[in-house]
Amino acid sequence: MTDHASEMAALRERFIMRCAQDADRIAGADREMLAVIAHRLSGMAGMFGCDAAGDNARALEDAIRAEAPDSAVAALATALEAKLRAL
Amino acid sequence: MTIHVVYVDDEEDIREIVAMSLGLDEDMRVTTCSSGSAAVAMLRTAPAEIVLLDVMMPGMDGPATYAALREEHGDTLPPVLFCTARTQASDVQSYLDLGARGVIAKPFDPMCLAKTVRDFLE
Repeated sequence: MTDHASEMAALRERFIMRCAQDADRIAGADREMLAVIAHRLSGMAGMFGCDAAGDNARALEDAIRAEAPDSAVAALATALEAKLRAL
Repeated sequence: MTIHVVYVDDEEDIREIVAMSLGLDEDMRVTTCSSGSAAVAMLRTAPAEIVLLDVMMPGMDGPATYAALREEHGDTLPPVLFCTARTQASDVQSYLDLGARGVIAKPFDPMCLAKTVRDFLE
């Protein structure tokens, strides 16, 4: 494995570990915190090949910005939490 | 010619990816800053060929950082690119209206970032 590939692999591993922490935070998060988590993941997950989580995060962020009903936001948040735990 | 790129983002993981990605271009030298205020301070003494700004940062966000840099450097400010996950047309236009050279969408392909930055320099 090249140096860059090794470095990227290490960064991805650290990202995955932090996703587990984000999953824990999602459970009790309010909309403001969910928006922060979602924005960060929507911009980062795809860089590590976690496209599904990134897409979910973007959808969650969009829903919060659009002031979607609590049920819709909760469903997206729950789905994101599951995707993060599955990484 | 060495291209000094300054990347500003509060997210450590992304700073490291950007440093690694741009480091793939042997002509690029990368300095990362974790905040807008750090970038403003750093650019007073270390000229750059291009500045990449994350938009959403605590405290001084990307647009505020850009405004501060414009106030300090005026016409000598190097090209600035905003990096953001929010790339709807209205968002992008707002950044361009501020005077940014362009917008890089997140997530970006780490293997292509150096070329993307070069393209904006040309």
